[in-house]
Amino acid sequence: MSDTAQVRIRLKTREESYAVPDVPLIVPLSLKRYGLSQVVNKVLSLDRSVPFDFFVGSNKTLLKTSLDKYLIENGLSPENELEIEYARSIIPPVHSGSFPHDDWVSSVAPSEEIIVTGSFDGYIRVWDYSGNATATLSAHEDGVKAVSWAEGGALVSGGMDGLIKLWDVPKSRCVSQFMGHTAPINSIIAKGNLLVSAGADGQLGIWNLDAKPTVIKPKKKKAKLEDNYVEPQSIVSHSVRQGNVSSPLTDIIFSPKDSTVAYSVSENHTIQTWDLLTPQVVETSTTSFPLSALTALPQVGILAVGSTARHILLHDPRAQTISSGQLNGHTGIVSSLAPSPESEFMLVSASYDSTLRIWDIRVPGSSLYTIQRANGTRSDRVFDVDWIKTGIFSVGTDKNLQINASTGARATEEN
Amino acid sequence: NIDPESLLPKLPSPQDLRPFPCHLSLTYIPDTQTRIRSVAIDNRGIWLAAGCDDGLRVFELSTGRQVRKYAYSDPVDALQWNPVRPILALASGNSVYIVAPDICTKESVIANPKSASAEPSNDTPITDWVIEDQTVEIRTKLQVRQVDWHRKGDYLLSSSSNQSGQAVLIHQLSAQSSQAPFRRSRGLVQDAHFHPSAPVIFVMTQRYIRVYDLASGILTHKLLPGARWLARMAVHRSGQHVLAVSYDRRTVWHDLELGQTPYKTLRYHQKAIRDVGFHQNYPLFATASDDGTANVFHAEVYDDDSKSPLLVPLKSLKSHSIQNSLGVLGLTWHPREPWLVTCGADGTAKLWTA
Ligand SMILES: [Mg+2]
Repeated sequence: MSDTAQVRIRLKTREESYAVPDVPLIVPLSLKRYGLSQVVNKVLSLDRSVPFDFFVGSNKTLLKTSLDKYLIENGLSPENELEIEYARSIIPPVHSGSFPHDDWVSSVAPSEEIIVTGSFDGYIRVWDYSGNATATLSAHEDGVKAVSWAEGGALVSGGMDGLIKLWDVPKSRCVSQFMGHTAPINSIIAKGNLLVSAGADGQLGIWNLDAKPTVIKPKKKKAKLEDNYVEPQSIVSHSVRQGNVSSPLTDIIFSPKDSTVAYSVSENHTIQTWDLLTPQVVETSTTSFPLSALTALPQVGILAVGSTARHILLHDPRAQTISSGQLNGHTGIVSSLAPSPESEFMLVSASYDSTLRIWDIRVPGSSLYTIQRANGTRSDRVFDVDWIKTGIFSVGTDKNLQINASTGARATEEN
Repeated sequence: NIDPESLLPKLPSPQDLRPFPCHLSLTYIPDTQTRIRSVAIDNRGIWLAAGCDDGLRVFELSTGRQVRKYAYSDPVDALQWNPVRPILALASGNSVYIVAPDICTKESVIANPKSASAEPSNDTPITDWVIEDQTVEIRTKLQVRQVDWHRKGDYLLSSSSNQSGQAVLIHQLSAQSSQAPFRRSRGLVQDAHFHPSAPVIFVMTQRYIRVYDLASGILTHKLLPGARWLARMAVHRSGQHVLAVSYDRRTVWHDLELGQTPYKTLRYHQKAIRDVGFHQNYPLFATASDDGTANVFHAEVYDDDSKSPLLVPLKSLKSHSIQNSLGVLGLTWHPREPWLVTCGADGTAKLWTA
């Protein structure tokens, strides 16, 4: 086929600020992603070049070849008009740093100024972006399992010891402790004065961060005098039960629209919606798999749910049934999920298969990128991932906090 | 010219019998190199206990993290979590230990210590109870090979590879006492289990399995598996079926309704079989062998007595390496999911998920 062969295309996007007029365009069949991206940039007359990705055909396949090759591979004729959806693309996530720890790292909470990690050695570490550990807090016997930011730069942590702690990070001080769980804390979140914890004991703990610490007699001899315990009666906890025994709750998030509502996932296959004020379960959706991770894509109103059966389910919490959307590709338990800070359709997943994967839910067929451990091996497990404007932050058995830069304009590379 | 295969009844395809463990999801590695002989998951599905050559280890099941280590001078041959409380019983040397791992909760092994006024027995006790808050050691006169909790969590059965009357002992935690239900044993005892719901115990010797009614002391069944040297057994939750595995590579299914001879004898391993276990809820069982594999079978038991159990081989799980002719030494099922944990001479335990 000659270089001048052409095809009629119609470009569509769900990102309003980058929409082009809905008219057919005639473009060379030899165009690839970069060429199409230039076409969109030209139509929009953008000052700074913005890279786009293209999804072709009814099943929205990510265009990785030329249009010509796509048509041939799919047995399509260049005679017909081709509908192409496009979306702002991310740069391939480049490894930009790894901060070593003494032990496995279970959890990470990044901000644009500092990054906090929780480790199985029992310490919380505060890092600056140059890789200096600016503070090391002795936090939980037998290991830290979850860390999360609370209002006003405060930090909350959950431990293998079943305890929850509130930290004043600048002062490197534990402000208060919350007791009540009888198993490790798998996930913890805070907003306003509300703290919500998901325990391996199957209990969802709802706590008031403003509760005045009451100094009660520490049960453990090792507890220090300055430890402030919040009395157990401040717990409002509810069990998710299956038969006589509770299944571990594995992850918890606030509803993006209403922080008096939370979603939890459990090994007992369920996604539950909680009214935190009453507090009670207002809805339960049952899947076929033990669930291990949860995040929300707020603009599209979708929950992404990681399973121990190696896939990610896409669930609309307004629907009564489990939607059929699935992201397949991981070869290990999915341990953590986080939404993209820039694209409402994208998310990152972490797995026991040692990788992170970046997905666009419009292209469920395969992930856009796979990120390996820079300082680990294929047998390492990734325990936690978060994604903010400054990068993708992930931790695991490789004893490293790994940072991958992920946003901003794609370099003017091509092929 | 009829294909003889076509005359055999068609077994369902493994694909139609999912879910069953088929995917290696996690490997548990102790802090120091040691053989792992036995594994057990607590009833909440949070902790994995591993009986090693140098002691006991407890891992967090979901992450693979070792959280506790208890050293013992003798290998931990067998262990089992209490069905009611977060404590576990294990066999090491001549002792049965009952341990309360103090992770998150502080549990005393003996919940209600015996009142001081309890009548001292006139007989010389057959065991010595050494009681501490987090550990009880029951010293016996024989090397203990196997332990099995009663479903209510107070009684514990221990067995020793011996012919004496103390080869099978029943210990009562609340009374801190042990008794020997039999005056003597007929053959070397290999394993002993409580019936899942009735006052009945199953005792396996080298060649036979005997079923006793505990209340009357009467022998109700004597099963003849037809193996030269039996290793372990598992009792189905119905109490009507028993699986026995042998060092001479046999897996034998006994239906108590069908008399003394096996309902089926399966030969799917190349080397000695060391452990066998039924899943609590799913129609699944698994066997562990020195050939380095664990085999998973579908085993459907019907309420209708006239219908025979349906046995279908599903999957051979291969990942453990063989060390000095020893392969997979133990296995345990997850309390809820169709997940299996295997352990072996290669010093690892492995979680197999659906
Ligand atoms: Mg998370």
